[in-house]
Amino acid sequence: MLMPKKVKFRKQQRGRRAGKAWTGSQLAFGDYGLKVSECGWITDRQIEASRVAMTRFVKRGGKIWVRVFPDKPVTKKPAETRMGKGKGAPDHWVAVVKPGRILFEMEGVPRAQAQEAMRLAAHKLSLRTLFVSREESAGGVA
Amino acid sequence: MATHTSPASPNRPELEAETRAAEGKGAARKLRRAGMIPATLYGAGKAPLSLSLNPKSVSRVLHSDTGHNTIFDLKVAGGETAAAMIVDWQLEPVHGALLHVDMKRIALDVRLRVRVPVVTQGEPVGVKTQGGILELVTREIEIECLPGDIPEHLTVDVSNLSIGQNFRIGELKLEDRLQIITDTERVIAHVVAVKEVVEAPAAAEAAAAPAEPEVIRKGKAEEAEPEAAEAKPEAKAEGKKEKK
Repeated sequence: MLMPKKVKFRKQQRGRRAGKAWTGSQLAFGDYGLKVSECGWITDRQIEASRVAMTRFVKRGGKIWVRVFPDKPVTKKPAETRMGKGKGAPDHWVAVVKPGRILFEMEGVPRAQAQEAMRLAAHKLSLRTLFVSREESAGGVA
Repeated sequence: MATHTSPASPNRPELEAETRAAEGKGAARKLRRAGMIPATLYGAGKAPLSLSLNPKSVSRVLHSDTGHNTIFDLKVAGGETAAAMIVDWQLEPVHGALLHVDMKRIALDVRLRVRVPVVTQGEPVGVKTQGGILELVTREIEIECLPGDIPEHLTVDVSNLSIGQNFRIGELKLEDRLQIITDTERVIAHVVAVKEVVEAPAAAEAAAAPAEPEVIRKGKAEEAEPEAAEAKPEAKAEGKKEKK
């Protein structure tokens, strides 16, 4: 599972997500990509499950890029614990995403195959997503 | 730097624009709600001009064969008509709608620098017989030429590439009138081997992964015993549990 090697602080506050992803919203490596259309958290397990789903589908063809990294720790209190007594222990890691953020990119496969792989990956996520391709994103229509 | 612009030509596409007096984000948003987008025209030693455009016409130019390197006649209502090209454009992150366009006046007798897309030709040997993947590393190359000589794209023949081989910008054979500006050592495309993904059992993976990352400590005194410091909160938590 993806997680940082070193961190400055073990725990973080939750924060808020306003606005859109003005960086990381265009295809940078591959020809096809999966873009989120709403904000939220993507967990390390979801990223891994999506990656595995795509890799299994494309088998030996194609190259996949993961454009998000889970660098935010999420804490959890143990089950059947009374409230208080401080913040819980770090449980998992999440990537904070805003609308427009590209999650995965793919190259070296036909469009239909990439679209199906991205569909399978999108089913592992809890956010709404869009399939994007390089030929369509040259200059959109308002 | 060019000091004059070129007159209109019947061969070039035409774009119509209107001058825009109101500036700032409020006015720009109002303009976008009305179905237009803000734009600016500069270059050729003339004063910059704030304009408003129909995004569909700009999109048509961007999706044309020559793409953003298309030279068009920009007709400003009640003003100048100049040969121009799109220099930069902004897109809305989610749906990719055009938000703003930067255009530059072009002098047809002055060399300019443009970014031309790269198109690959043929199927590499490494892909056909060795099971590799062709990866296009550099998608656009900056060249210097006269506006009339701007190529639609640069074709790269990759059919001889096998696994581990690459095609560099220096290997491109271009006409003399086109001068490459991008570093000639840069790789355009290469054929890479597909990594075999050996899926480890979940239990083994979980055991291999560290539970928590290292915490960066400030100061030398704390650096000396980071593990002890990390162990403290856990020990504390356990102590608390026992109390309950």
